[in-house]
Amino acid sequence: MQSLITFVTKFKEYIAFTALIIICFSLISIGDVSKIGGFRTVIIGSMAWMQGAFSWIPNPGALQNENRALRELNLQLSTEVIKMRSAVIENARLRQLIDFKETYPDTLISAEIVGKSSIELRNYVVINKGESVGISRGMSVRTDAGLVGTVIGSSDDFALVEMINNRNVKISAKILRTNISGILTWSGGEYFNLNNIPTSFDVIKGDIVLTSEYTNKYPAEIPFGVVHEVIDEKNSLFFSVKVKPYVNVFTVDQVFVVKKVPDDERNRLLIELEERLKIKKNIQ
Amino acid sequence: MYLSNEKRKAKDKQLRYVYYSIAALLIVIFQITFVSLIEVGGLTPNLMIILVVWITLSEGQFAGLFAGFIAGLIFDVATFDLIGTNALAQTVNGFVSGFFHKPGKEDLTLKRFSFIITVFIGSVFHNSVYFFLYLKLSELDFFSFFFKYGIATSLYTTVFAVLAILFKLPKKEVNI
Repeated sequence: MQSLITFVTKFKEYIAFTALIIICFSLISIGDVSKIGGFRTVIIGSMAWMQGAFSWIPNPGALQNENRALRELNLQLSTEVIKMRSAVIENARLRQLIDFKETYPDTLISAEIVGKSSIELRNYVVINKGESVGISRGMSVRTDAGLVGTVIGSSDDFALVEMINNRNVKISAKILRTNISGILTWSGGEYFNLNNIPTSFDVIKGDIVLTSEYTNKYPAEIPFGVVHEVIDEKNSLFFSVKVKPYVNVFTVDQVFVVKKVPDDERNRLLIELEERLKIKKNIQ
Repeated sequence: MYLSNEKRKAKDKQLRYVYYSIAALLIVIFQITFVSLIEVGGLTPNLMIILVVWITLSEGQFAGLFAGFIAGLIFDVATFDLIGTNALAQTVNGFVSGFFHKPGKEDLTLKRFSFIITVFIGSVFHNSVYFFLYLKLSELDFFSFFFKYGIATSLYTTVFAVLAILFKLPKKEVNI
């Protein structure tokens, strides 16, 4: 008995340590964090009350974390706002297109631009509709805003469109207010030139320009743009008229193909006339 | 005269335990209410470790064991922790710190660099036990988590042990 007491006294720390460890593991094994009841709820409630009472003390670390989280949230929200704004603009544009399609007299085929190419000053786009929906060479392409170009080639599912901003393209146009006609050409840049307008004619800035009836290539009365500047050049009989097109050909992505081919008889007659003129020129 | 000295010592001892209890309660309150104010990179010091080491180095390993157990138990009750986890970790802390107890030289030990070392070692043992139990319930890797947070927390706790020495508690409390 004496030796047992001596042993316990000598190793009391180890014995106590072992006993306490066993108690701790027992408490852990019977404990359940999901159930907090009885006196613990009172203690936790008291602690929460105390934390609430001192919550007015500023916590720089927590504020920094909160700021960081808010900044991240702000970034996320601003991205969403940009997306929503884009969606609103797209929605408005599509609504305009639908309204336009309903009111336009000719049959229209809506299409999306799926490819763009630019060779020197010649610009072309590929649209995702072709012969399978009735698109054929010679049809004009436009948006609700105005003229875009003309179809110069097509396959079953795609069509190649020659854009108006093309140095080979000449568009017969007229000024809506005075019915004065001229030829629109493009030589690069933002504006088109309306040629063959004598200085004695009435042209002012802001006049609306449409395609005229004198062309067989494009349907008449398609809006083209607005007169941006009228320059009266010295020693010239003609104005230099700069026209800003309604359609931004660099950003357009949805178009309509006007399902109307140019008059073949009229075309043939024009081709014959051109050939005769060429022959006459060669003889001279 | 001898009897009165014995009585005075016994009375002092009782008084010291009262002080320890008050200190433990204050530390629990501080640890829950204010410690977030001194949080650095998600790390907070564990002031209870310092108290347990202090009691152990003052009163010996045997008293330190129970001090650690009771302090840890109070902490478990006052927080959402599983009851027994802090008690176990603090008991280990008390046991390990007890090996640094030098009977008759308590006053010197508490004022010297060895106190800081003891706090650090005790804290490392405490955190290893605590994080082991904590991580058992999760998918996290113990060693990477312990080296990242356990050691850092121990160092941060040790900084407060330095402050405890620098500020020096009243002689009555230090000389126990």
